[in-house]
Amino acid sequence: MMTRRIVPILLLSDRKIVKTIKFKEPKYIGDPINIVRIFNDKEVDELMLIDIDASIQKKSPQFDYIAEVVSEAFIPMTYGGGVTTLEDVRKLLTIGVEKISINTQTWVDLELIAKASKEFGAQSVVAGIDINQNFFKQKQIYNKTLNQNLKNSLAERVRQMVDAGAGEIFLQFAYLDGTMQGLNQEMIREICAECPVPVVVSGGVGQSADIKSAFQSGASAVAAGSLFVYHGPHKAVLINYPSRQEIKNLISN
Amino acid sequence: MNIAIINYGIGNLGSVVNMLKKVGLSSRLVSTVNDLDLATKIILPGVGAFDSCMNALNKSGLREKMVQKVQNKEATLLGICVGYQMLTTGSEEGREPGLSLLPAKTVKFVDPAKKFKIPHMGWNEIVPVVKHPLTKFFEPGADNRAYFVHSYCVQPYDQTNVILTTNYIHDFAAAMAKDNVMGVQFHPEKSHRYGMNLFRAFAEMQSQS
Repeated sequence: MMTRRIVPILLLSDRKIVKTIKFKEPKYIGDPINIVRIFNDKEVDELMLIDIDASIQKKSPQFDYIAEVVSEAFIPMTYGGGVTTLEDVRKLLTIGVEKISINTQTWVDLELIAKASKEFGAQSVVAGIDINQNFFKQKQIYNKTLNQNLKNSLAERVRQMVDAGAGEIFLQFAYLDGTMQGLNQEMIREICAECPVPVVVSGGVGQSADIKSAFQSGASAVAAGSLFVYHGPHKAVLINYPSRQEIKNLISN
Repeated sequence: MNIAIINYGIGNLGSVVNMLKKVGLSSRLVSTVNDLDLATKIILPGVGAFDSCMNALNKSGLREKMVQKVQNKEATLLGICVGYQMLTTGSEEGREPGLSLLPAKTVKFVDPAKKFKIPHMGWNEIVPVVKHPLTKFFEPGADNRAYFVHSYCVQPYDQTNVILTTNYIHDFAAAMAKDNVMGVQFHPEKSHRYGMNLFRAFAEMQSQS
């Protein structure tokens, strides 16, 4: 059976879960431990926890607090944010995090990806790539912390990450984040056709049809924030997740 | 009931301890030979590269005692993920020989059609192929699932000891059991109620098999 995953993505700011729009305007959603407990009870496929301040504030991951949050999850978790050393990766894996997402550090070099992959196995190393668009709607690889763009094509960048040892690619459309207007299916198709490792896509998921399309475009997993923490046109906070039957419909072609 | 978890510097033991606690089972991390003395149930976790795991186990000084207890039928052993692969004769991933406690070898996933991504990562169906105490809570025909993350899979020399199969590219042995030695390819500690049921069944198994 082809495995497809639907992944709520939780943005951690200090000790709060927030939701952003285009990586800005963080809005308070709730208490991390509470939210993780609810998603755990809903038996979600996986959870992603991303500390959106760590890299920008040049802070290490909040190990003790992450340990508390992770102890509520009997499902796989990916953590990202402020991971710069092999020791960070080791600590997070020991805590019980399954996979570590690395983005900003890859703009310095790919050493950490390579070393972590060699030491802990490719399956625990996720390479994060964020996509933005410029004034002319051209898509660029972008990093918010460094406020920089890369000239490389996405295909080239993905290949670098996989060659370095990444076991998964986490592709985020920053310019679509929180808009709930749909993912960039064209880019997903382009990348997934070539990429030998699983690709998780995120940014813009507004309805379950977006998830289905992304699977059809070749994504191994779809991560979403707004869809799983908001309800209705006024975006009332409501933690939700599709039922087993709904998921079966989404992953069937 | 006290379950010993082999602590040899590999893997997220925290998740295993957490889940055992959740289902009301006490466990302890074992890092010295003496700590293994009284153990009747042993869990061997493992993540990462096959050789790193084997080297770490060899260095830990726990290997001999663990194997001896298992061979003398003093303890029941459950390998998880790479811990399961370590019970085989060896892996295509590395050069180190395995523990040879299960009649199988570990081979790389190959998809000639390149349709499937590797690693096999995510939830997949686990199908009971025989009745076994370890899988007694998995109803045949029910939607039994587990979380997998692996690029290599266990290939038994014959099918007699296979207790669960999963299909990814092809059918493979998601779990094997031979007397008091068993292993699972998936991560029960990350497979919510299915994993809890597996640990519960493991704890309830007769120590002498």
